[in-house]
Amino acid sequence: MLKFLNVFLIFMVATILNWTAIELFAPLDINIGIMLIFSIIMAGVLSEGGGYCFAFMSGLFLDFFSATLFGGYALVFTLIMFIFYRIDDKIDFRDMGPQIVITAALNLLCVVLYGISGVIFTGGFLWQGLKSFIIGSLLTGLFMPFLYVFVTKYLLFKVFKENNENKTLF
Amino acid sequence: MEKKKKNLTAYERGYSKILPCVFVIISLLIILLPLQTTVNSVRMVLSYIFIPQLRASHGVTQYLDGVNETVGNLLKVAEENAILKEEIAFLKIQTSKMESLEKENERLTSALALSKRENWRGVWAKVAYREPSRRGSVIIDKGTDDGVELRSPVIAIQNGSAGLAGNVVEVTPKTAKVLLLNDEDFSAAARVESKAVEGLISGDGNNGVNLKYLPLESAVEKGDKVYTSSSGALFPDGILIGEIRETGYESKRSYDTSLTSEIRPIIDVGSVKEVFVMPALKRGREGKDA
Repeated sequence: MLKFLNVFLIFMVATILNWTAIELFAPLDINIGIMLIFSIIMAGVLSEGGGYCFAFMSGLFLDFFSATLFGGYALVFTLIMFIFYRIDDKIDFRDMGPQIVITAALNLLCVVLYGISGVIFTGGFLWQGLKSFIIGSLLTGLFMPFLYVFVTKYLLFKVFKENNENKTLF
Repeated sequence: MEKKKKNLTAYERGYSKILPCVFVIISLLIILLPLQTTVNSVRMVLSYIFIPQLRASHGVTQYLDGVNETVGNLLKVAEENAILKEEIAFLKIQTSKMESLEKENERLTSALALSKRENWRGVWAKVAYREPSRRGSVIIDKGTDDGVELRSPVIAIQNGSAGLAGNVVEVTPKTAKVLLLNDEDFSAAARVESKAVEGLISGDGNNGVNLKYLPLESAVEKGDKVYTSSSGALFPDGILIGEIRETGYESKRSYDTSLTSEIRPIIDVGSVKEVFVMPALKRGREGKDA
């Protein structure tokens, strides 16, 4: 129960930061993948099932507030998590370098996959613009180490830190 | 957060394979099913639910905007502070320079007035270097190019009074070395004004000057003024040296044939900054016009 509350709290913080990022960067036509960052962080904290759930809910949250393809982000985030879990045991995600590179790369992939899903389901590529594609991904990567420290140090309850080896769904 | 170690059971392995497929299928169903009306209703509800977060994010944005402005102002203030500190330091230096110039101006004005009054000929010079280990000599910034000669008498003016400071012992085209009257090697013929007796002055190595070889019956008194005497052929007659501080009668021994009096010099040579160098005395010529 405590774990569930902690995850819910982190999800709420993620939504707040996501809207903050939108408010700050939307005038510059840049989209920062805050929900993606939180999904990746939580994938490292939660079990695989929990990570998928968090990513799916994050995607669904974005879908509810985007007018184009409902369910698109939920699908893309699930696929991104699938890829992340395939490479997770090959990298040390505690280092800043891999955090930045992997997150930026996954954000690029996320934008591409969302665009492709638009081609498949709506008949048009859902493109956010080259500026958002490149700078947005770069910034997403750069935000990752800060948010990683913020979440792991300040938002995670002790119960996660102590029982990391014995993961359950939450 | 520890690096994950994957020791999954067969159940967990299957579970981790099925789970993404389940979420993909759900996602596809959400995309494909005609849920527009439901989605819109849920979106409306969610909008209400997420109002606090929206407000919070707006607050965060405003705070960040404020931080940005505050940091900008702080940077600007720090920059201005550095500039102002530099200006203050510059003004302090300027003030110090002005005070120094003002004092120098006062000194020179009174010295000029006095030299005109006494009708002296010579050249003004500044003390350029003072040896820290030796207090009895200074280097001045004038030399033979300016008319300074070997054995030129050197006088100084302090508190509106002119007095003997020393004489030139070494000279180069641009500089000259002045032996001050407090040096042990300095000597000059001197006379006590009221008694018309003569002696020889020499420095005591500190700040004092002694008047030696005074006749025992000279009856000098404290406060008697001592002037240079032309009998020494080194200094013109009548330059004030100082006044008698100790007559020497008190310390006189029975076998002494002369008196040695202590003089309080009129010029504190330790703090002299400008001096007036007169031409060296030659036969038939004096630095001081009659």
